[in-house]
Amino acid sequence: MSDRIDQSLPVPEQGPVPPLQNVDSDRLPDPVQPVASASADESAVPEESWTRFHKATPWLSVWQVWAAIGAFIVSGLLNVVDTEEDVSTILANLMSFLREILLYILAGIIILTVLGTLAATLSWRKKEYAFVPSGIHFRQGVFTKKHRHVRWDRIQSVQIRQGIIARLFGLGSLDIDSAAGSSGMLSLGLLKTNELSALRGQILATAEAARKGETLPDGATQRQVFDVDDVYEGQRPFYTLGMKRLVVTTVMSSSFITFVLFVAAAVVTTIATGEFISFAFLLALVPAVTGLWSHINTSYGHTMFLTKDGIRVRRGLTKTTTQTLLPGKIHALDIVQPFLWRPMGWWKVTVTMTGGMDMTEGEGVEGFLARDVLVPAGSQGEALTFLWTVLPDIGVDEFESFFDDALSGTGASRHFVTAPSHAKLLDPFGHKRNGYCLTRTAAVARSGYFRRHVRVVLHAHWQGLNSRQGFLQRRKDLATGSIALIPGLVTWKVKNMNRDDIVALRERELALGAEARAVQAESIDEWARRVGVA
Amino acid sequence: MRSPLAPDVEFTPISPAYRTVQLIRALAVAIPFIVALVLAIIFLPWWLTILVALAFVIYLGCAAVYYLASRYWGYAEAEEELMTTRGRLVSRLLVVPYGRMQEVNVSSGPLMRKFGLATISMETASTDADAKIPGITQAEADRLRVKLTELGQARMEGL
Repeated sequence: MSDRIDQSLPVPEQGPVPPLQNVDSDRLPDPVQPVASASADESAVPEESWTRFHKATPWLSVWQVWAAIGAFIVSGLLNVVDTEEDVSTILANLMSFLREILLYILAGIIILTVLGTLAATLSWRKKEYAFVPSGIHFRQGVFTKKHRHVRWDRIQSVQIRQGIIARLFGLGSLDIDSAAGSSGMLSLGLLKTNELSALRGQILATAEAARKGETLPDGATQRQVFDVDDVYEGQRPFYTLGMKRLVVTTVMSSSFITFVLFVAAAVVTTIATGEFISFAFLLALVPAVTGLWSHINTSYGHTMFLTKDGIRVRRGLTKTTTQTLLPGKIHALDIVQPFLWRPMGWWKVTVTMTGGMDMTEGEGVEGFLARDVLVPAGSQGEALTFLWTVLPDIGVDEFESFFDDALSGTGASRHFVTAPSHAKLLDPFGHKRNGYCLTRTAAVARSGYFRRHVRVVLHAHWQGLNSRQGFLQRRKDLATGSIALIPGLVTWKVKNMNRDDIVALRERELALGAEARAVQAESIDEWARRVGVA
Repeated sequence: MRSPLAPDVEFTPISPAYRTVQLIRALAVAIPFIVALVLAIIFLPWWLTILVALAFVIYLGCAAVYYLASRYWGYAEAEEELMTTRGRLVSRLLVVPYGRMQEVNVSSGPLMRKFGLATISMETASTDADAKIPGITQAEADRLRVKLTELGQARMEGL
């Protein structure tokens, strides 16, 4: 099989991906005709249809075992280390201990590696997949055999997953999501990167045809499915998070600053007292470091494309995540500028969208939080471009002066209803920025004297309106208004406004909301036409 | 009843009998508290007794605030939305369009039933817009439940 592995997939500049039989016909299974009444009969899979995965699969799984053992040893050492003792004593003890048992360790490593490789190779030989008319079949197991069958018409989505080591070798897996909830994703891998996208296209096309009850036509150009991954071959993203910005924003983040202060304090203590700081102190830094790392890891290379199906987002360093956002699902946006970003003029855009708070398995907290951050750091222009892709029309006539006011304006404004100056006792800095504007399409609130916020809620999407007046506010005839949204990261609120303005906010927003809900929402096709990707 | 946050709207106050319910509930907690206080005076050192007494005073203060605030609970059925108001120290107003209501629930425990009262709560897709009216008569609660459920279904809109 090795002679075929270095064949690469000819990727065309434009247009549909060629059919698979032209690509790598003897390696990949033939394009198949899905049959509607697919039977789950295992014997229906001809023996020659079974294909093995890439032969590096066992080696990489052994590597994973070693990584796991290494991590286990390190964590064990961390537990063993007595924090009362001096680090150099610990290291000396450790080294002498290691010297005593070095031979045994080496022997153990060799035996484990040989056994592990043997086992992995054996299991690799028995791990195969097949694409046949009844669906995708997968079987594995040396002693206990497992057979899994996913029907074409049950396939929901196909994703490409690449870990960092596998990516170095140009390998990855396909995660096939079927309607069967309990057994989870069917993961096919490892396979060559070139094959991954071709197989993905083939699976999507066959699945789509099966769902429509059609048979897949033969020939080169009759691809049934629009595969969004094909589109951005050669297409320019409308937003990319550059490495410089990622680093600068990470360095300016509060967790990094805390980290630096922490280390500085440790160094100063060490110099002043002449004693090395305790190990426990260093351990306390671990969460900060992992937090920073996972921020870089999830946001790295954050890129957005406009596709016919919505806004396509790709990000991630060791694991690339792609998602397609339906713009109509976005209910609200928060355009924020932390104080330290002001010299660079960068903004961050977070959204609240339906499904935005659903946890996906294996995503982790950082990935979960990052999902709603759509512009991690962008110029004012980039932030506004993104706003435009979500909201066709901000609903004001003087676009530029409106955004000048919204993003950085203070005090009385032509566009915004602002907080009165007698609010300054309750809100010494914020009252200069607090204000709202109800445009034809959205409710816009600006706030934050140091950390600037502009929050945008689409009239059609709020759930309720809240007003509040505390006893201090009552003495000054002030009030606070907020808009209730589905669970998410954006909170729309204007604090310490004139009470009359809050009453008016409620009354006008009620009417605007009712009006907006009555209008048919923009369909995805209309959206695609508007942003010019139809 | 009026709210400073919606000066033009006349709100229906909740039943005065709800204050009796609140009083009984407050007593139900206060009596064990008094017993604890007496025991503390007898058996505990003076500084622990003061702590218990302090906790009791704080509890009484909170209970009084809630008791007084119940005069300011009210609701109004507008054409397209339900409005609820509450609080005097901090007054709040919530407006929820009928079409946004996902679920309408009526609940009443044994004590509330004794006084012919019920609590009606409306859930929306937002955790910040869950309207609740405690202490209205059961007949009124049922009327509201039927009306709100019907309106909620008739005007149901996508999120």
